Amino acid sequence: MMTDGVDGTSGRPGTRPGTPAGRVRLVAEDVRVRLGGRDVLDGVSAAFSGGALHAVLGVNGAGKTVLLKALAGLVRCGGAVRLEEGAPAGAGGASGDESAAGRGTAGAQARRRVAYVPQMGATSSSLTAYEMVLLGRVGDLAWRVPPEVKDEADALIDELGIGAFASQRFSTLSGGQRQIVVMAQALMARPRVLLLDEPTSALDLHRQLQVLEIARDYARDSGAVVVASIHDLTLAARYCASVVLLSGGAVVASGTPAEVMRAETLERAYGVRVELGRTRDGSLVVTPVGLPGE
Amino acid sequence: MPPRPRELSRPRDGVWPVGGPADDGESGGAGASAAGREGYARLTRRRAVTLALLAAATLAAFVVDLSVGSSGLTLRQTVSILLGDDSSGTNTAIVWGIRLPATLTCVLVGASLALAGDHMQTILNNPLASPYTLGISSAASFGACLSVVTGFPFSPLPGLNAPLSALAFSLVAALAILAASRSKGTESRTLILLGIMVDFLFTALQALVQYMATQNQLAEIMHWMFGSLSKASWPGVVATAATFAVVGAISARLNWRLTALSLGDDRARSLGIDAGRLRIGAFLMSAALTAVAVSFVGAIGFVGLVAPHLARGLVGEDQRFLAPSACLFGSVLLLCSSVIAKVVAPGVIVPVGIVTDILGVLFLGALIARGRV
Repeated sequence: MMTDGVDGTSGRPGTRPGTPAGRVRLVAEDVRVRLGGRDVLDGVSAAFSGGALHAVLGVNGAGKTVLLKALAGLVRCGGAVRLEEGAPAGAGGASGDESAAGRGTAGAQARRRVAYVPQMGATSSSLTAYEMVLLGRVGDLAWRVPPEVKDEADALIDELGIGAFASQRFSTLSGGQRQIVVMAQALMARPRVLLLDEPTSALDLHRQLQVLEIARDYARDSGAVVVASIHDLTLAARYCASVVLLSGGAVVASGTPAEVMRAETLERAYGVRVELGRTRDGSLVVTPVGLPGE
Repeated sequence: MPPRPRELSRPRDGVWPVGGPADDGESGGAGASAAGREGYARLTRRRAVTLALLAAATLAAFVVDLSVGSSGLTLRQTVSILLGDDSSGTNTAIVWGIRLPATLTCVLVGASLALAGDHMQTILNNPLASPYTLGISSAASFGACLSVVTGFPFSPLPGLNAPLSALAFSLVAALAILAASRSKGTESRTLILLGIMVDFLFTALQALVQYMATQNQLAEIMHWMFGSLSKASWPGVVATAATFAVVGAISARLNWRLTALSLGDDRARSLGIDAGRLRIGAFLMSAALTAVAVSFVGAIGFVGLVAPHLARGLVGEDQRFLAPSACLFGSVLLLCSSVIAKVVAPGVIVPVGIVTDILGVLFLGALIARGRV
């Protein structure tokens, strides 16, 4: 099973200097969201540790996207969302409890603490992929793009394999290419919390694994919290340290994938019969085999 | 599973080379990111050259418009008068008192409407947005008509009544849209619907005023509805220039944030931008630009829709280039319209708004046909 992985000592080329190695913890307590007179989130509590990838699971409408938006501070919510800094790591910033969901002041906040990556399917922007990546540091861009921002963009583009289509317009890219470009944009700010809304839903197999490996490696290398909503349970089991299963706006189970992904739990939450297995390397495999009545 | 030779080539460190096998047919090589950076540098250079060419075109159109008119001055005479030659008092008066204000009005009004249109399209993330489509032009027109018929706002200088009234009503319309959008959210769709409502309301009110107007008043109202440069004056030039300078300077500071706002609310907010406040600020600035421009020349609205599209097709979405290019396109469009309006029928100056609309339709049609919108 995936563990937190080694501390940020991996020799990947993209381990950028100055990244604080301190672990953070993202804690949601009794988060409630009402939209259109309906309780979309009904008292969700969860904690996500830094340095690993976590998944939010559930059927369509279970509240996955709203939970991510609440964590990002993009929707008004009851309860509390806190970002707890772990061991002080120098450059990291204020320690102690602090609202992660600060209202985004457009000011000189060069480094965003929380980055939310929506699904970018329908965006018709005529910006090039390179410009999209640069925009990740929009707070630092003046009339002239600072060379160090370009350096960082180059490093990320190298690391994520964007180079081949960096000069193409974003709207002409395939779904997988878009997802990786938008992730690169989010990573430019080196967020302490990275929230990905269904990053793998529209992608082919290779891109699915690539996106999740990028997310997991970023968490491992930077100590950041990375949370993604994922439909594919097998993928979630393979890449995530912990999962939270939502149903009807409430948490029905949370823990390691092995703890959460039990046949009866999944059958109740998803309304399908499943069979569980293991790959040769021990990772959980979830195969839906039919509807309950059959 | 049938084995494929490529599958054996997976690199040992578990990381695919740039692109990977599923990279939609594009296989990048080593140093591909340097290519990305160079590509960006090339793109930036090309945009700068485009901007310079547009500026040159604007200058050329400026000189041509200045030298075309009913008094038969030649290009050389016009230029020498501008440079200080004072040998003929009448010609000097024509160039400095009549032609220069009109030509400068073209430049400034074109640029103002284009910048307003660019901002509206960007902040609403909607290619249909413009001073015209959000009803602000209609509000200004109604204000002017009301002034023609009733004398509102009864200022001691009768010549200022119509511009003042137009300004007041366009700001009222903008504030109404803003106030409603504050309680109902600043979603793109909400703002567009509000704009359509405002447009209908003021169009109806204007029809009512026309219905009650006398023959003479109707003639003057027509002049306003079409948009005309015949009342261009130095005070108008100064007011438009001052508004444009202030708004231009502010939006130059906001250029990257406005670019980011074109990605949509969630993304922009996640990048640290207060999307709501930025949108409201940019909207107020656009309304002020439109109000001042329209209050001196009448409804010349199509420029604000077309110029940003022309500019976007050439220089892309980056506001550092898009905003100035849109302004230059707006100026060129209006200058060309003015020249055509002066030469199309001998002895008659067709209202420039009519020519602008026809030119705008042609340009927009060409853009649509090429799939650039």
